[in-house]
Amino acid sequence: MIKTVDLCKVYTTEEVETTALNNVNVEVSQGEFVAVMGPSGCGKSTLLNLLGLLDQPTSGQLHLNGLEVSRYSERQRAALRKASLGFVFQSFNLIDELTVYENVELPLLYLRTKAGERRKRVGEVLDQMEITHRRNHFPQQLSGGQQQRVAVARAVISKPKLILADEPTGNLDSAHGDEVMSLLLNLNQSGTTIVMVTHSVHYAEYAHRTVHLLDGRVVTENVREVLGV
Amino acid sequence: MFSNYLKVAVRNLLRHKVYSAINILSLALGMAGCMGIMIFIRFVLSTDNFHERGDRIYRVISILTSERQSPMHTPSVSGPIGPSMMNDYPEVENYTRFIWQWHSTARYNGKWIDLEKSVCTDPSIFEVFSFKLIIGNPKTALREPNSIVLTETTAETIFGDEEPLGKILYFPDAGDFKVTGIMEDVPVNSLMGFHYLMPIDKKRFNWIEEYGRIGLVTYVLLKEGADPGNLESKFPAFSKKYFAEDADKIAYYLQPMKDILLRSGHISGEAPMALLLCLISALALLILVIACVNYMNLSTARAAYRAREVGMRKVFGAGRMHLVRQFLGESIIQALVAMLLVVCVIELALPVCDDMFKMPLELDWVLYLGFIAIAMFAGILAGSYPALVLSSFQPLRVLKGISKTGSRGLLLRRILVVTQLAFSVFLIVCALLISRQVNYLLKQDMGFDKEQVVTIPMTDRIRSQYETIRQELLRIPSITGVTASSSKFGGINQIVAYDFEGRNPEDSWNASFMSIDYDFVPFYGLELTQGRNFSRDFATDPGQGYIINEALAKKLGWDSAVGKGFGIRGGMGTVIGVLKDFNYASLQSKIQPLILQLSPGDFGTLSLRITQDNTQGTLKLVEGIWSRYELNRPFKYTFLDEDIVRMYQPVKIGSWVAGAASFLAVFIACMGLLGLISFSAQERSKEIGIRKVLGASVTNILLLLSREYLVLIGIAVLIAWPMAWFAFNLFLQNFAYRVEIGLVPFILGGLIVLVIAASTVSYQAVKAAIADPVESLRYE
Repeated sequence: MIKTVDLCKVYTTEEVETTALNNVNVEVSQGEFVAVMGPSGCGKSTLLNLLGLLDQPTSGQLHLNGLEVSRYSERQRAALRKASLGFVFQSFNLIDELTVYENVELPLLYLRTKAGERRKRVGEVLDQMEITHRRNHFPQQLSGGQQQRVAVARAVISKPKLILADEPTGNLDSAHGDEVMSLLLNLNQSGTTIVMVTHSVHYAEYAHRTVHLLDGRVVTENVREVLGV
Repeated sequence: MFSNYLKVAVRNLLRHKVYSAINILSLALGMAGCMGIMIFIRFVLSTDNFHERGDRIYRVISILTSERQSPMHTPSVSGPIGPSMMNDYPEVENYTRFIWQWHSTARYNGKWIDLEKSVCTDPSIFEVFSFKLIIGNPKTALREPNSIVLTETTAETIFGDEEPLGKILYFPDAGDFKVTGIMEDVPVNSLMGFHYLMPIDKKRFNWIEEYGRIGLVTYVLLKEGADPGNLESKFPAFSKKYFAEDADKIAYYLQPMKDILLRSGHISGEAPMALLLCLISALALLILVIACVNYMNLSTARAAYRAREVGMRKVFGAGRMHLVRQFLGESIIQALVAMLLVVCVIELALPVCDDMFKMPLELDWVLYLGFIAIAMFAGILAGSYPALVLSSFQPLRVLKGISKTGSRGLLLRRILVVTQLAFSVFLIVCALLISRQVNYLLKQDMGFDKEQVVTIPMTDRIRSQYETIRQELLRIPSITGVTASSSKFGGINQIVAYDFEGRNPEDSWNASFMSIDYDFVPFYGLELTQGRNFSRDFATDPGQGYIINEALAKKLGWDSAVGKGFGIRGGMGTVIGVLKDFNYASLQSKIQPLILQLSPGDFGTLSLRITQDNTQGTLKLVEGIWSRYELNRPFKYTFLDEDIVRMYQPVKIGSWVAGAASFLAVFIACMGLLGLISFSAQERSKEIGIRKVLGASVTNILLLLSREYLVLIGIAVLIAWPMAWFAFNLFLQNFAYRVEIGLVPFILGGLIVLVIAASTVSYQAVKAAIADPVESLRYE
């Protein structure tokens, strides 16, 4: 489903040139759950942003569902994002002015889904995430765990084939973190491909395999095998 | 999607109440000017549109040409023009003529009633125009020379509940008139706001059949389908037929009725209304732009607050246009809310306006559509730049927390603030300068003594007894001088053709004329540079002696004018004196040639100089003398200095409009500043906290926050000054007498804006500076 070929990302400012990713070659198959780990600044989030078409690589190729998308325009990337990608962020990134229901509904609005269909699907997903009772609340009225559940609900509402999660448990205590991870696991078990960036070895264990990055390079794949776990 | 945008917009408005209030209030103030002007323009455009045949009615304009003057366009034509046009041209279906009378007094049942303007006209007025008779027959109401048609209100004022038809009104100048009709009041939106109609009486207006005398306005009604252009092409032949050898000095054209109000700037004595409306509209539009700038500044400054939302919307697939639409929608919503506020205020203000200015303004659907258009325009203008900035955010950058608009946005914001402030300073300086010019005109030595002078319009009886009355008046101790003249200063409208020795008989020469008595020159403190005043010792002075002013002597090239042969109205006499030039008309124009003659038969104004104490008592005594000689006319007077002040009323209104506009502009700009500084204080609260922890004083913080704005105000002042100087110089071109521009208004204007803006800024800065640093650091 995902294949990167010598993917590079270099950030250039007036004074400094920083290589965030250096010839990264990663493959993720349909239905896989892949964790990306590494120390701070190793390029995990950069990789995730490139995979999520939020950013463009400096060089190299990015294949998504067999299409080479590394040189897509902003418009094409936006179209692809709304059609087949879902995002979960560490800081939830819910829109404060919208209720739980409206936040979850938002991606469907951009997909021009009909009102009846929207209502049905938002209802189902809120049920699935067990936050229906909070549907009319605003984000700031919810706990961190509840906010992240809303964020997951928003990520899955458009039934994306791939969910990209950037430290989804980073701002949560362990109980809420576990909750969110089991939600992701459920989604994966029902066929959604997940790529998740995490600092936590514990949560990385939920994934089928782990990609380790260091200074912008892939150092090991599948940590569990290397460590003999 | 729309409801989603709407929800976000409304929730944002409610969540950030202060900024919303600043935005909406600024937009409301900015739009108020435009909306007010729109109501006024709609009212103006409705002028005289109630005449059913209005599209076929034309006013006859004559162009008078002479060798020494540029051609003059005037609506004043001679009496036979209307009848001759109807007679000669089948295209002309009808005509009606107006002789305006500005003020008169009538007596009914022994009581005197002041009546405002009226028209002597032809009975065909009811066929050409759509004035409706309530009582009486339009065909016969004005047939008899002593008939009168009153408007409803005038009839009510005179007769109260009595039946007016058949009642007799006595007019001192014209005799008894019988009421033969009552008509609906002339609508306020008509240029013909007369209060009663009289027929044109050939005995009273004995010049009415002379081609050579102009003095009335003629309207013609063309037949349906008649081509006015085609008719006008026949007018040169018309001039030739009736004016023979003078035909090349007079030409005619037709002015459509609907053009009279707006397109008469080129016609002598009529205001360039379209130009004035354009100027006021431009001013209103500029103020609206200032208000929109507030919105742009505040929205882009606060862009960071919306950055995450923009980022998330983009992550979920929103395109740039989705976001542009969303943010434009928000600004339009705020503009519409502002519009509703203004509409509420207008609805409350309209009845007051009706009471004060007798303008029955109304809001109708066309105006509401216009208001919505203004709101849409303001919303789009105000929202366009923020929409472009906000929608350009890269999702990745904003989600990483990099959402500042950068130095370019900051520079633009500074430019916008400077523009707003510069415009405010410009308007204030202009308002100050105009009022200085008005004061200058009022205080200007006009060359005659205008203090403590009472002027009284004379009647025939008073005129015939003038010498006796003068003696009686002089016996009152508080009256120090009495004189008479044909008109009062500022109101000379008599122009005569004059003759002088050595004149080429082909040329005609004209000058202002005033008839005065022996005491006029010393009474007004006029100065003779040559010769002498009129004197009772010279039997030839009345009628044959002339005093001219320096301007006339100069025009004629006479270094020594005394003794030269000179005359008016066919008579010939000599110049006995030359007066130093004095301003007998408005100071807007240069002193024109003036002829003074001693001819008591022309006296129309009595001037008294009274002492300052017990003015009312003196006037009572004068009234006592008046009523002994004049039973048919009430005693009326004005003070000359007040008349002169009235002369500059239009310029004063101009200064008032500029003042009001500058107040609005400063207010709006300061609200914008308030928003910006409070935002910057909030944004820098952590910095302020750290600085205070490290020992910064309140003054240090105050300076830190307000320094930037003080510099911007300074730049604005420097930009506005030359602009105001240039604009005021243009304005001064309209005046023959100009105030020294001086530095004071510039410094004062700059200081006013500086003080208001600086106090706005400091208020917020002090608030931020005295806040507890722990508060701001705790939340970081």
